[in-house]
Amino acid sequence: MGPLRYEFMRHALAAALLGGLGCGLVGVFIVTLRIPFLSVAMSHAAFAGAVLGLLAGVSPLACGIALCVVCAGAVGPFADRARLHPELSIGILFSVTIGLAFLGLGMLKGPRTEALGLFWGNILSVSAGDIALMAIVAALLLAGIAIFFKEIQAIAFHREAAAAAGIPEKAILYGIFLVTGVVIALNLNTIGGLLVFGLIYNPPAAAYQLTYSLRRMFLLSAVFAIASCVLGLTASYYLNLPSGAVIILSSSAIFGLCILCSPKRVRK
Amino acid sequence: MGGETVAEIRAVSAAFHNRRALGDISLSIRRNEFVGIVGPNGSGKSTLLRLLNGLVAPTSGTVELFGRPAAGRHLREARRRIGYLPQHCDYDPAYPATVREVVMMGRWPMLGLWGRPSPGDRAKVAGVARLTGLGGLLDRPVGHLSGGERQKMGIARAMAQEPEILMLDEPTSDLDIAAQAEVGGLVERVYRRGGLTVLFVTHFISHLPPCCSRFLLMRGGRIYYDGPRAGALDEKALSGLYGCAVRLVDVGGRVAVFPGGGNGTAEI
Repeated sequence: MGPLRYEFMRHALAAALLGGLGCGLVGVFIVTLRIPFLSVAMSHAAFAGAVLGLLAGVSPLACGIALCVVCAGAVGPFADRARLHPELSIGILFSVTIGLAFLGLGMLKGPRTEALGLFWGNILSVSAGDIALMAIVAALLLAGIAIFFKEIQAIAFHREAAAAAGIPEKAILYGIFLVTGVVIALNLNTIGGLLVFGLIYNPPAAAYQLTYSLRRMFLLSAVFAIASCVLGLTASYYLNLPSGAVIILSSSAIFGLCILCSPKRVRK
Repeated sequence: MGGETVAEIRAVSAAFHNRRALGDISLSIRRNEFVGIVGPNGSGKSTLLRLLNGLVAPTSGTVELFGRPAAGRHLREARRRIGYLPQHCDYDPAYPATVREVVMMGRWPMLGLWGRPSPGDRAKVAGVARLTGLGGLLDRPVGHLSGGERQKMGIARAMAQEPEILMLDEPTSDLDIAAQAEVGGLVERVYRRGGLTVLFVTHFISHLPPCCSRFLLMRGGRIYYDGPRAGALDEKALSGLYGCAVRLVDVGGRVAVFPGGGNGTAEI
């Protein structure tokens, strides 16, 4: 059975499958809604929450998720009330969360290894509880996409036209912000706060090169993200390399291959 | 004139980006009217459409759609009866969707949360595609369309809603002459089938099809003229509207407006 005879590797594989699935799916929102900064802001919110959790002596994961949920819930109404483009309001949110994160880091006593480890994550340290939570979120995400697919498709195509036709675009958009925040917070431990962007941008961007169907884009993005995680995990086990970094490099390599093979780039 | 009132605004003011866009205007639109809304930049034409479909809230006054106040549940229901083509349909040209999927988006508001397109919905999409001249393009990716085809797709999407009111915000502005004629002809064809009220916003009076019976000239957020073609196509009235001397040129019943009392070359 090779590496799977170890419990930590079985956990890591489950985290790779579930983390890849979650990041691959929310990445499609990020790419089609053209809000790439959202994942950056959310990962820093998760990081700031985790650091504040360490400071308060409570679960960093729970605090990371909590701050992500607060930020995701605030960003949409803030953008609408202040009449700002969502990307700009996300940028403002990012500056607040990065400030909070560094304030918390500065206030931490003793070695900051655990906090700094959240930047690059460690998929080999995932617990059974983390996996159960990732599975629940992945199931909710899949159900949400299946139920609201047509609304998501209409909003991603043209938000104003969707709103004018009576589609509840604000509720759907705020829901997308929220689920993106939760998925990123859950992957802080496995992929890491800095590296998770790669898993959110690369697989959907790669899928974007290959299809003219949003449904297929979700599917391909999830497959590419899971493949990146499994490939990265396997390579890191056999070559003794940092898992997060290899996962992201794998997803970058898949993106590169898709660019080369993209029918959208071939001159007719 | 006769006809049931489908939209009515009374003493309405509205702001856009903290600037007054509409000032104390009252207006009543009757079923089966074709209303051409014309005016210089910033005159409030687009805001008027956005006010009527609930995308902009009035700062004072009342808006009624289909005989009831345009708010809450009734607004959501009324929006389903209004087809809307936004001014800038600036979707991502690489967006993963075909023309068929985008036109089908016009059916989404009628399907509800759990609804999936029925054979009847597919037949309606095919019928609208034939009407708009998109029959052969249904499986083409949206990124492969010309500017005129994109506008036709937007109109087809709005028509797939089977609307009672069709609101078109500058549908011909960024098109070449041939595409302008095609889109203008399409709007006229759609209107002449009957049962539809059309609000057509444009800078160019010559873009309004001959079936346009009511002209609404707007300036500075107010209604400058509201009446039949004969009163609108008047050099004195249009010089006042645009704030410069203008000259009307009638070519086979289609009237174009030129600035400068005969010396100007750019059509207004």
